[in-house]
Amino acid sequence: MAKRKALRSGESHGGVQTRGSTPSQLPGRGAELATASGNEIQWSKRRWILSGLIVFQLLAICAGPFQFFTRSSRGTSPLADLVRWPVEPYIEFAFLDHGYSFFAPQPGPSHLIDCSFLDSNGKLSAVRYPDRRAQWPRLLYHRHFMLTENLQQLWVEPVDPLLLETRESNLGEAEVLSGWMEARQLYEQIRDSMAAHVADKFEADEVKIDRVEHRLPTDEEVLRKRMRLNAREFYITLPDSVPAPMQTPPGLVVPQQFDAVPSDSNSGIPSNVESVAPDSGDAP
Amino acid sequence: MSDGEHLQRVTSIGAVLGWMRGWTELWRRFWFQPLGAETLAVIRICTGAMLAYMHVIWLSRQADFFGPQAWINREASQSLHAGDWAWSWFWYADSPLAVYSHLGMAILFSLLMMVGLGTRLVIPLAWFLTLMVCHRSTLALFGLDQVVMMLTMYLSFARSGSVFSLDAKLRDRLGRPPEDSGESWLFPSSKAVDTNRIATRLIQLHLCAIYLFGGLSKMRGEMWYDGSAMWFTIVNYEYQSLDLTWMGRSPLLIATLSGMTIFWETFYSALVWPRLTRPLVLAMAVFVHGGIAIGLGMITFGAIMIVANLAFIAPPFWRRFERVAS
Repeated sequence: MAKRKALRSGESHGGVQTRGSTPSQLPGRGAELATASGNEIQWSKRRWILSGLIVFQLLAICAGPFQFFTRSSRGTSPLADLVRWPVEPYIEFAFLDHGYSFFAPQPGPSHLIDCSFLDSNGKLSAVRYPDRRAQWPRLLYHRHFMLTENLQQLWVEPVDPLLLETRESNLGEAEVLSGWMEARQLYEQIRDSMAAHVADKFEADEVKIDRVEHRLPTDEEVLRKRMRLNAREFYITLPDSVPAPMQTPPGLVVPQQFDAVPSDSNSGIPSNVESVAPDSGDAP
Repeated sequence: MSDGEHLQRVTSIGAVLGWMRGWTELWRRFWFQPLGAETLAVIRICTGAMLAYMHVIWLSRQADFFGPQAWINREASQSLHAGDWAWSWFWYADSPLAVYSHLGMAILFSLLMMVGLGTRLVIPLAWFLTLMVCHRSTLALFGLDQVVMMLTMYLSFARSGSVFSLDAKLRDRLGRPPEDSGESWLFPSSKAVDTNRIATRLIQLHLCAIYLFGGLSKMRGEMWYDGSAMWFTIVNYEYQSLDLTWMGRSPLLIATLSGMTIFWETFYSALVWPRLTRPLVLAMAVFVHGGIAIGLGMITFGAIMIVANLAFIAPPFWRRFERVAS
């Protein structure tokens, strides 16, 4: 400890003490040389520490996207998990844990939400998010768009209670079911939070949220058939329970099958429902 | 051991040591060669402005994103981060006073960062306040937030406020403070230092990682190979801000743009370093991100990506620019 203190002291005075004398005891040129030498020692130590921090940061930069890149239906690469392990707390706290897969693997459909509710007059109303006319400026619109896109990313098919009863005896499948239920609970928590927000905004007692997919039109539909990009045919209301064999854990029976329901109007809202402006509930 | 064997061993060790010394020297030059702060100062000005704008947008709808009845309430926000190391004090406070205070300070620090006043303090503070917002509003974030946070983080330890700033004007007015004094730390001199080099290198390499993984991820999608990806990007109504569907009349144009995008993105990390290819790669960055900004309605994201690419422009360029401008 004393040695470390002495070393620190030596650093702050050009390391002269380590030579057994003080700067004032050394002749002019000698003192300059001793100081330069001390600075070099100090600089070198600093550089080693900075180099270590740089290597750590480079690992942190790559760990997140590398693990994201290796994701498949079987999980992630053990190598990517290993690379991520030492930097995980840091990248999660410092907001460095991203995949950077913009428009990847390929451009896909957009996802929106339709919120339907009984308003204060008892009339059935509906509102769709995001709406680029209602949310302005564009950054505000994009924030809403990300909310609905991410709700879709979180969506997991509901677990059939019958499955829970019949499969509980098998430990492996029970674990799969447990993970499935947790993912579903998270989705429902987010969806219910959004519903509560809309209910508060429009002073409704209860709000139902439907996910809507806006599929991408082909060049033939746009250029030859001259269909508009927001034509009603391109909007599909997604049911909560969907035949999705790819998303069903192995060994489990796929629940009842449903077909995707096309929206009834241009806005995706049934004709007997009044469409309201998304932000009409806002205070002026 | 014979003299010959001994000599051979010494020669081999010497060769290894020489090789290591060469690499150490390369490492030193790459990371520690002192660099002026002009480029970082330009990035600081743009990033500070963008941060302030982002917080103004949050503030305009604070109840929707941070209030008790927010889109994602506090409990749901915490559930999203259950089991990870993210943390935000917004998980425990959603009163309008707390939210307004936080966002108000974030705007203030971002503006100070932009004009360069107290940069040593305000940049890390702006980063931290934005970090708290990011962990609270996770589901409303996108690439803009990732890149702005990345730039602010690296600017936090560089001397970006030593030029093109009010700090520099104050320093010049107050006179040169003694080295190693608090005043010297607060108003650093504009001389080239290694921390500027480290910050610049980290921005450059981080950008390379973003493009590399972005390009590799696209390689998993067949649309980028068959050339139709660009079409399905421009017909996405939710992104579209400029009608570019006329481009679909030329499948060759669509396929060329798709191919150019994935090639540029994947090989950016290699081609941006040689002086011969750097201008082309940076010009392509302006073209791609300018297109995203104008055509796909992400003006903020496109702009901040162009700002990040400025890290590859050497400080003398900005000195010449300043001389011409003045």
